[in-house]
Amino acid sequence: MLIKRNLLLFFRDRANVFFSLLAVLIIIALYVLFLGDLMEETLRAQLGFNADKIGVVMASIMLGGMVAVTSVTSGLGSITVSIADKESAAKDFLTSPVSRGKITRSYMTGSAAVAFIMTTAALVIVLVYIVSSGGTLPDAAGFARLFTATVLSVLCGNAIVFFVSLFVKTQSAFASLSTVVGTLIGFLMGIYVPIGQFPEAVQWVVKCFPMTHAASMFRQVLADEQLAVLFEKAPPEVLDGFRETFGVVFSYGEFISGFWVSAAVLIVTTTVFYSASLMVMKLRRV
Amino acid sequence: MFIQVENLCKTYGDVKAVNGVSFGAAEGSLFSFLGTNGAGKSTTINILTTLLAKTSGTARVGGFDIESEPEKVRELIGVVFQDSVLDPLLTVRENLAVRASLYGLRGTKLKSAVDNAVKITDMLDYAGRRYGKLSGGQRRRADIARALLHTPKLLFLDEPTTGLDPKTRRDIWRLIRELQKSSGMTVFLTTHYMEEAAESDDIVVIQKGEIKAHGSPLELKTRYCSDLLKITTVGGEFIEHKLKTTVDALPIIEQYKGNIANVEIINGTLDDVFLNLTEGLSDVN
Repeated sequence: MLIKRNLLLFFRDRANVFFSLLAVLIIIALYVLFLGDLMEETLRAQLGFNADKIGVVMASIMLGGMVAVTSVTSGLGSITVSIADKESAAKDFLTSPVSRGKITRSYMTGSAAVAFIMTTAALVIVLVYIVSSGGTLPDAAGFARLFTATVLSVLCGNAIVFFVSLFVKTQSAFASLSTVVGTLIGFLMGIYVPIGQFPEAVQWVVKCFPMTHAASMFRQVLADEQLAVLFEKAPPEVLDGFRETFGVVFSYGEFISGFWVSAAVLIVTTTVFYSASLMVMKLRRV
Repeated sequence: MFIQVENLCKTYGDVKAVNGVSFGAAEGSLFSFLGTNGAGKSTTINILTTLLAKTSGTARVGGFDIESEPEKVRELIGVVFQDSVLDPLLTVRENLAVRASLYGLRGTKLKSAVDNAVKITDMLDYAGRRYGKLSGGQRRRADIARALLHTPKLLFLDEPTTGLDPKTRRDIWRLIRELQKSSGMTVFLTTHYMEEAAESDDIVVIQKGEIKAHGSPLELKTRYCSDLLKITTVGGEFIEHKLKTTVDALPIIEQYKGNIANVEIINGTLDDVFLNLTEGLSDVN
């Protein structure tokens, strides 16, 4: 019932839903207006020839990142319920026999449920767009990997967002934080500017940001097959370079992160942040 | 005593918000806790409702210690707070269902608790509307319904009618009194409206964290205020006499007999008691 409350409060607050999707809407607007064309030109220059379906490949890469962004921004939007309760003191909850731990778990679960619904919705929209643009749907194994990416992306985003929310006391402060995150996350996920075009130091920051791995997982499932077709006639190192430049995979020296390495990064990050949250709550006796 | 408080203290640094307060409230009684803003009322209520830790002293509710057995205390109490605590975006029924679940109610028990609360607070017409769209009086009814979901033994009413129009205040009070009569629950009231406290079984007046007076409304009126006799003579002279009791007027009236154009006796009220106590005036008797 408490989780249902959190879901209802998020979805009935249209402004909250809108602002939690603002970063996503900005990404779509930028893509439609100019980023899509810009990235297509970059790709054509790299390929050295004009191939079919370049637009679909770029959409898959960019919108794959957008799905990962949704898991963070919608999680941020829905955790505002806990901040609002914190600000108003939620006296009716605290004078009831329900344990503080149960209330806290309801915020975590509610926020994760909202993020899962929104991320799945974003993923469906992206798949529809890809198919309508001439692309193909992933096979059953691909869908299983998309589901894995969605779950891990949501859990990892939720773990980080929940940890941060423990240190924010007011809705206005959290709104400011959400705006900053919403602005930065497009860069951190390599959506506005391909990761390969950042200076080396910035590239390392991006590669070490855990949620970028969620974007990488979505990109691999959505774009890898089409990239293989597109780069069929090109030398393999050109494809490798392209995948790194656009954040489909990351290289750490000689090591290249694949789907399951990124999954491991998300699992470890999720565990670390949930554990840290539990420790903070225990120290505060929440 | 259903509430028993002994030497309760709460300090914030050097500030003593509650300073050695002791009182008791009998089971099934209407107990009023009065004081000016900042007197220590809310601090005391927050301690008794387990929202705030005390600095020292003891407090028991329904026989349970508020510090060592807070869960037991929470099962016994319902609280109507000064401010709205329900979610504006949820309907009254949704709000009540969420709050009923906090008391372990599920399925048909939860539904019947919500239905019952809606019925006894007379909200059938608007229980499906969002809380944020209700009028002040309707919201207050919903707040009271929330506090009654688990049929508490003790209901805290923290300034329950502040900001409401006189008719709504009257309706809310009629509802509270009916509920108290039918369920026999103890009611702990804080209010700025002295007429609301007039029907209390017991009143405590707190000032600057300390108890200034404790007794029934009649006892307090007898000790801390007086009746006033006003006589206008035939010659236009205006005479006022403070009276310890109303019958003390008789010899004075007798004295002016034959020279009285108009006579009036104004009874002391709880407002007078409150003002005399909180403005530092001494016992009038």
